[in-house]
Amino acid sequence: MMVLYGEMDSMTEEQITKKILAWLMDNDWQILSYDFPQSGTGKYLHPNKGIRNIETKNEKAFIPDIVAIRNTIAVFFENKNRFFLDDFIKLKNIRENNIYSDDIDKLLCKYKIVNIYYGIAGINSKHFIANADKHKSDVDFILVVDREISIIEDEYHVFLE
Amino acid sequence: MGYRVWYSTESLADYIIDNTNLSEEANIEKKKMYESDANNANNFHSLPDHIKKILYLDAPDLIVEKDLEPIFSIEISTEAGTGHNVFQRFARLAASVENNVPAFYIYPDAVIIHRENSTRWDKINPLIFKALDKAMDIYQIPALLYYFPTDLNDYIDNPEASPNINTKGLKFDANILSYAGCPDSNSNEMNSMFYAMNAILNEINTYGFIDGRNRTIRCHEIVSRIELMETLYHARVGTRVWSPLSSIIQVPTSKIINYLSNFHDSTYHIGDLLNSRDETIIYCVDAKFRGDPYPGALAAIDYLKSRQGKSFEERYYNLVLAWGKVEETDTGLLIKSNKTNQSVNTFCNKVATSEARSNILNKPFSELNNHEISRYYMQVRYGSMFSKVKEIRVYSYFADAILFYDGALWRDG
Repeated sequence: MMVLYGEMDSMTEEQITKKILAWLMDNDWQILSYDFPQSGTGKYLHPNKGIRNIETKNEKAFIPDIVAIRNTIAVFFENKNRFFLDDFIKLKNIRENNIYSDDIDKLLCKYKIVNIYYGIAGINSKHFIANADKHKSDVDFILVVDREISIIEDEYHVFLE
Repeated sequence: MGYRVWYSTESLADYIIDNTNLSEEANIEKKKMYESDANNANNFHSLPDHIKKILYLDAPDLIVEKDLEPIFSIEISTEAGTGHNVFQRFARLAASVENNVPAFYIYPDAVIIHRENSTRWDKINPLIFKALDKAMDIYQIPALLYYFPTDLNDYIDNPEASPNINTKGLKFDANILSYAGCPDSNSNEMNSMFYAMNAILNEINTYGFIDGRNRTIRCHEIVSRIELMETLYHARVGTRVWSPLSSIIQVPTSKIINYLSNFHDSTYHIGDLLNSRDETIIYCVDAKFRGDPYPGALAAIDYLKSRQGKSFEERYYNLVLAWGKVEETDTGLLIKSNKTNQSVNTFCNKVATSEARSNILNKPFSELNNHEISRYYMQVRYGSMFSKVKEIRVYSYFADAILFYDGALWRDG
């Protein structure tokens, strides 16, 4: 399923990801991995054994756009320069079904992580915010980017100092 | 006018500008590059014609141009370069060099791979150096490989201890906010590459485009690199037959002609091109018909085994791509299929789907949206040249014939 709504803002996914990275670093988060189209930097997380399709090794691999940690918290971001329903559904499924838990545990095993949160960063437009609001229960946080970063959803106060 | 940097990621554009003499240029513009009409129908048609031509086979990650003349292109990968993989991007390099544009290929010497019972370095297939060398030999235009910096030399026996194990042993630039995804700019390899890029910029600034570009192959920095690439090739190649040459067979062309006769009647005669070469190289792919990594591997085989001049007409041997299990008999060939999607109709369906999705030439003017007017006019001139999916473009450019168990396509001239 692929549902796109509304305008494509002039900001690219690369620019959104870099702005979020800068903001996270300014707020003392440690970046474990990041990815944007054609960067070649992403961390592949594979589904747990038993549900992995062994014929195609990257089948259903999840490449988070940002993984960052601070104290006992890890955050996983999906970033887009438009509203992209698939990302909300993907994060909802990951939260509920935990199908990447083996690889996520491996990635985070060196750190004392207690809670993991999944969320979205998008563009600061009325269109994105209105549509994101309809699906906010699927994710733990939603951030929007223009010159500044604004938090529009953070149920668990992940980004409070 | 002045300099323009066409990029796939803005970070790479900034990285190259800031680390070369381009940083001293006042008049420099960055522009986003769109790969093809097939994957970016809204924007591709707006690219300048000379850029479209470089993108025809496949898109590099960056092109630098001055006063509308491309100066060099860059392709960058972070993948493990074993087997066919290192050739996956080869068609992009070929497209650049075939348009007389020097090409830089940044590829890791090895990458840490975790397997069931071990963690190890997967090293680069050395045949890439030979393929680049052959391309340079034919076009007299640099096609240079620089290693994406890694921890290989310091942790060759203990990859688990690599400080960059989270990035497969790759050393990225520490400034991730400006140069996200770019190689460590302090590494020797990247500094050598910046010197070579500066050498090209200097030649072009001093001697102009045509003379300057022709002189680049003799620049000290570039000659040294070519010699080093040759050394790296010989240090590793040994006697092993490396991919993709382990997947080719050489047969008398009469056997190809015989096989093709299964798919036309006796009133038709195959044209002169295939018959003009006594022998034929067949790249045998026993996999479902698909793209990567096979398009790049086919392009590399052309340079490694069959090409002698600047176009496909100048080959020692025909170059043929076959899908399925190929068996040479006394008089001809047998091709068997034991997988789905190995039929000639898989190819034809892919072409038809691509045409149905991308071709707007059947639309009346009143139905063209604003952005489609220029796209329509491009398609009037070029047909679906830029609109087909990559593998169809590359296979039909490089292969003199494509064989399937139930059909075949070939060039008559």
